[in-house]
Amino acid sequence: MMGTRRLSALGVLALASLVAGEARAQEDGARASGPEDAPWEARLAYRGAFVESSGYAPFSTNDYFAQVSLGASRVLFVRGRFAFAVGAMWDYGSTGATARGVDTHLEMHRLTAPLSMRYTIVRWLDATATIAPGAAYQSASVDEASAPASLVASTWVPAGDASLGVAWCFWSTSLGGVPLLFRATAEGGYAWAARMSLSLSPDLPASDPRLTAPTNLGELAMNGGFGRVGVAVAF
Amino acid sequence: MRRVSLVTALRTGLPALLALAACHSRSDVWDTGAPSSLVAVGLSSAVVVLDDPMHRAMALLPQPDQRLDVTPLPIGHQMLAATASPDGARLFVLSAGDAPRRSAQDEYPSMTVLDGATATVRATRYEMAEPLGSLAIDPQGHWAAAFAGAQATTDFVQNPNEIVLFDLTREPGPSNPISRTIRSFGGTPQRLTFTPTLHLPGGPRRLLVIESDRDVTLLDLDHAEDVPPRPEITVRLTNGSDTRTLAPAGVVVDDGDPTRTDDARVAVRTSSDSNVITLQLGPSASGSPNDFQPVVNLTDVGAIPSDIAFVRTDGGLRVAALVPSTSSAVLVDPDTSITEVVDLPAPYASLSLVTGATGGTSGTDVALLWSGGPAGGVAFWTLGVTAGQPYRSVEVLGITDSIERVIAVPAPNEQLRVLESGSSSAFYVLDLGTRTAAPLETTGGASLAVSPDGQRVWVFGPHTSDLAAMSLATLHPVPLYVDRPVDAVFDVAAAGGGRALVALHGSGNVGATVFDALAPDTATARCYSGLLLEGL
Repeated sequence: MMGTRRLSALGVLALASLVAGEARAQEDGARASGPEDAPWEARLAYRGAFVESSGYAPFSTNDYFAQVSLGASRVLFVRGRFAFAVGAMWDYGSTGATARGVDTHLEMHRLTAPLSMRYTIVRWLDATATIAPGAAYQSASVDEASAPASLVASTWVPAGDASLGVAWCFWSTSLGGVPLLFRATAEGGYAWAARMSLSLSPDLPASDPRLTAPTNLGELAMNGGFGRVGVAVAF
Repeated sequence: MRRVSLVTALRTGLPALLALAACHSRSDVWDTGAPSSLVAVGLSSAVVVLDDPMHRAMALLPQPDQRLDVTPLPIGHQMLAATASPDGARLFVLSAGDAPRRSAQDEYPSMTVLDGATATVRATRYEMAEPLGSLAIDPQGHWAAAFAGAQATTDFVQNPNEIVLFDLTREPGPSNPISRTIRSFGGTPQRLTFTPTLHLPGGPRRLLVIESDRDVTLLDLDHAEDVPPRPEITVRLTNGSDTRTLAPAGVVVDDGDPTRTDDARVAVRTSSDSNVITLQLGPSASGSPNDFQPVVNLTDVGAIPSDIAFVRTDGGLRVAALVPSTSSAVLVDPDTSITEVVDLPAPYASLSLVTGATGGTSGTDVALLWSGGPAGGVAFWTLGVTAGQPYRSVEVLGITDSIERVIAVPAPNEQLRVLESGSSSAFYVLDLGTRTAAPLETTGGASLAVSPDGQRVWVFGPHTSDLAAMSLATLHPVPLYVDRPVDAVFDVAAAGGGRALVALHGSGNVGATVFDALAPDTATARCYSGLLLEGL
């Protein structure tokens, strides 16, 4: 729950920066450059996902999963209003709840390589279409009193996103001759991850001689719609 | 203006959309706590953990290599009682249902039968009209009876004299179960006993003996489903001129001579009177709706008896009554009511017949006597030498501990008994053949469980990690390491042959440690955790 609160706070910060920059964007928007002038972009965002899997229920009281996103990308080529960019994105989130009176915890690292096609609608507004293949590391734990140690399961699974979004350049400036474009971004789409078996085993040292059997909570598939809002700086 | 509108939409619309979409709560099952205490029952080939909050029973079926197959099975809502059949083949679960019942989906009171005789467990549901919290099971597997008993009333109006009879040989239906209200003289049923087949004047019959808190009722089970039903026979124990209320404290039944149809008897002791009451089931008067009739006989045994039994002595059939307050046993001739007092060396309070296991002389019985009181002790009572020399009939064993429980050992070691001592540091293995009792010591309080195959006894300290297996052939204890406190142990058959010991850990959502019961070894034991988290 603490993780969710932290991520929510980041989202609020992102929105606050969006609002604060609005006025300056109107003043400085004229200085904004195109993607060929600022091909690199770094992004910080808040991501909210809706998980359809019943395997998610032990770890959250609802189907919402909050994450924070950090990413970077580079425009590879520009054709008229179109630009194509590739990048890397790291999404991290954790959630916890109680299941039949015991504490549970789920953590997810999602590493993807976004491939984005950008279309410049007007100089300060881009539309984007992105697919992001990648992989996710998922780790689940249950602090079950009848177990000799916390019950855990973790694995890497293939994952990917497909999304549509907009990027609004609300402020541009330059630093030492390098143009800096500040953008507010918003996107929405569908996230997919392969199923993970929730067969949780006691987290015992490898040297422990005890034979243990897993506790089977079913399967977890972190699939569902998601939205992401954030800020980006291009240079 | 267009830019402001877009920003406003982003700033307010997107979070609102996210929040709206996030309002799906999870299923309530995950917010339902685990049972407050462990309720588990051992069947012949499964251990059943009852998960009342989730209205299910988790059947743990041992597999080869100390693995468990965990199968959830539905039971009725609001469990009231759970009892296994004596042979361990079936589990009976009484449920109150949903009260008040507001919708068609709400459940009626019911009894669920889990049949665990095979490698898979099957559930059958019998519905009732009223929740009843006590259950009696026919040792022969034909009947089950639900009644209110000592359970607190749950309905605004309840009939405590209603008994619901389930015919376990038939599927549930409109005529199964059937409900009978027992005629009452102010009492309510407290204890039910299914008799073996008795040879009565009207033919072989099985009876249900119902002990209320002031009388005894006989119900003919072979005519229980008649329409209209034959009325039951109630025998009042309290004399109309006596202000005392005599409450039955136990009944015993004997068929008598199998070639006669008029000598089957029921003997009753009470908790506050020195009389033993015998009911001889003879022919009924013409016009009676029943074809048998009890003839009541009272015999004073000098003080309140603590236990009674029908025994065969060298003088014939007798009712043996233990009278601890006079340190004696009284043999009552049921035909003449003549009594014979046998002085005992200690105030023994309980007896059980061990004739077959001791190789008693033909036609006469041997009884094991024991006491759970401070005097303690165990003795054999040979009923073949009572006539004329009763003082020679009792043989005392050198045990001074109080004995709380005598556990019979199944074949092939049926000549053994395990004596659970009232002290916290010892128990005994009694050989009825050699009349020797081997003491075994423990470092703390111990619970005992004899394996159904008669080969071993399991000893564990409740709520501790102390567990040991002891072979009944060698009396050699094997200490076992368990990493979690043990709350119950069950020795059950494993699929594919062999046996498994399932030690249950009741904390949290219930764990288990499974041992190979035939070769118990911590190194091959397998640990299970959070069993009640599965299958949701």
